[in-house]
Amino acid sequence: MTDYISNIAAPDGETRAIGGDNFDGQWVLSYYNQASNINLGAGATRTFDLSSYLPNDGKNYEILFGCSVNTPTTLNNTSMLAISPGSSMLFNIRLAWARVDVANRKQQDANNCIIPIDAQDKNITISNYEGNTTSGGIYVFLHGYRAIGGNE
Amino acid sequence: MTDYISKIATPDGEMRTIGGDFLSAEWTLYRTVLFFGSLDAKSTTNLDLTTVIPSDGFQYELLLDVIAVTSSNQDNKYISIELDSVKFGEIRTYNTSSLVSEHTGILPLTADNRNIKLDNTGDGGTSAVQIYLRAYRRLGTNTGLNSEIIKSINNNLIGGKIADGQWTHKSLLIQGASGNTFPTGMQNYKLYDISGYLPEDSAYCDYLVQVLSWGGTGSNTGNRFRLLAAFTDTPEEDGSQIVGGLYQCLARVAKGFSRQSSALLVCKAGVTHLGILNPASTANGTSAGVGIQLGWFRRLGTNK
Repeated sequence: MTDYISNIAAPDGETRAIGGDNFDGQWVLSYYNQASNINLGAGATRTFDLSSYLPNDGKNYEILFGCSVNTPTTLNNTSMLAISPGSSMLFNIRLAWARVDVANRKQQDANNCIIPIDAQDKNITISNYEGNTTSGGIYVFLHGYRAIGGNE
Repeated sequence: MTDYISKIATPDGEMRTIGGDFLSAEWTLYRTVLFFGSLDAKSTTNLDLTTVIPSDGFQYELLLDVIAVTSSNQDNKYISIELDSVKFGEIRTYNTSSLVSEHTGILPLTADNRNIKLDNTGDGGTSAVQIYLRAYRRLGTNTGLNSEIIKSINNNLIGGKIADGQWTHKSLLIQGASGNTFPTGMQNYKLYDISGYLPEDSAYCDYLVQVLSWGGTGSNTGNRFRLLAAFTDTPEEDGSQIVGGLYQCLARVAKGFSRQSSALLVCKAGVTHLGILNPASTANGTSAGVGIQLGWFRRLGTNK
C-alpha cells in the first residue's frame, strides 16, 4: 500500500511498508442469504464456503451475520444454533437457543455476531450441537465484511 | 503511546502526530435511548442518528442493546426485531403471556448513512421495543496519508499498539451452567477475576472480548432472568456500574425457556474482572443455571 505510506526504518535496519494493509479496512455491506430453512439433527453440523463471498486477497476478514433457529413442536425439545469459523466446531460460538415450553407449539430465537475468518480457511460451520433437532429451520444471513489489518 | 509512535517528521520539517483520521478511534462508552415505543407486526420505522453520531464522513460501529416485549393479547405469534435487516432477537408468544427477547450486537454504520431501519418482521405485534446505544467507535479511513508525509520515524516500528491486533481465540470457562444458578438483585452481582486471560499489554490497551453465556429458567411459570455483563473492577455496591457502564444482555427468558448468546464487550485497559448481574425483580427469578465463557479477543489500537 505504498500509495499511502512509504517504507520506514525498523530497528533491525530493514525497511518495511506501513499503512494500507497494516490497518483494518472499511465495512463493506453485502447481503447474502447463506442458509434458508435448513434442518440439523441433534449434534449435526453444516459447513459453508465463503470463498465466493469474501475478497480473494489473502487478508483475514471480520464478517457480520444474523441467524435464527426454530424448534420442532415436541414439548421440552430444544434447538440450538452455534457457529465456528473454519471447517469444524473448534471455536464454538453460542448464538441462539430455544426450548419448546408448550406442547405442539414451536419456539424460536435469533441473534447476530461478528466473527473473524482466516484467509486460509474461509469456511464457517454451524451446529445444533446440544439441541434435539431443528425441524422448524435454521437461517443464516451474511450482512457484510471488513478486512483485518496485518499490523505485523 | 510514545513508546511506539507519536511524532513523525514531515517534509516541511514539522513534527506531526500520526494516527488521527487514519486509524480507528477507541470505543466510547455511551448510554442513550435510540427508540422507546412499540412496533406492530410487519412494520418498519426509521431511527435518525444525526444528533448522536457526527455526520463526519466516517464509518462507525455501534454497540446496541435491543429489548422487545410481545403483546399480551395474542397467542402463537412471533416477533422478530431487525436493525438494517440484522437479527437482534426473536420470540414466540404463548397464550396471553408477554415474553421478552433481548440481544446485543455491533452494527456498522456506513460513512454516508446516519439512519437505521428498524423492523418487526414477525406476525405478532410488540408491547414495547427499547433500543439502547451503549458505545460507539469511529473507524479509521486507512487512507489520506501519502508517502510525502513520512520521511523518518525515529527508527521505531509504526503499527504495533496504535493499530488493532488480530483476533485470537482463547477459551476460558468461567463457570459451567450445571448447578450455577444466579441470584437476583442489583447487589448480588459477581465479579470474576480474569487476570492472565488477556496479554500483558492489556494493562494499557483496550481489548474487545467475546463473552458467551447460556442458561435456562427452570420450569416455574414466571421465572426469568436477565444477564448483564461488563468488564469492571469497581462496581458500585448496587452493581450500577455494570448497568451504567457497558452492559450487555446475554440472555433474557421466561417460562421455562433456554437462551444463549454471544456478545462482544469492551475491556478497558487495566481492567481484570468481568462483572455479571441478574437484576430481574421477578419472584423466583433465579435461573436454573448459567454458563459463562470467554472466547475470542482482539486488541484495540490506542490511536494516540
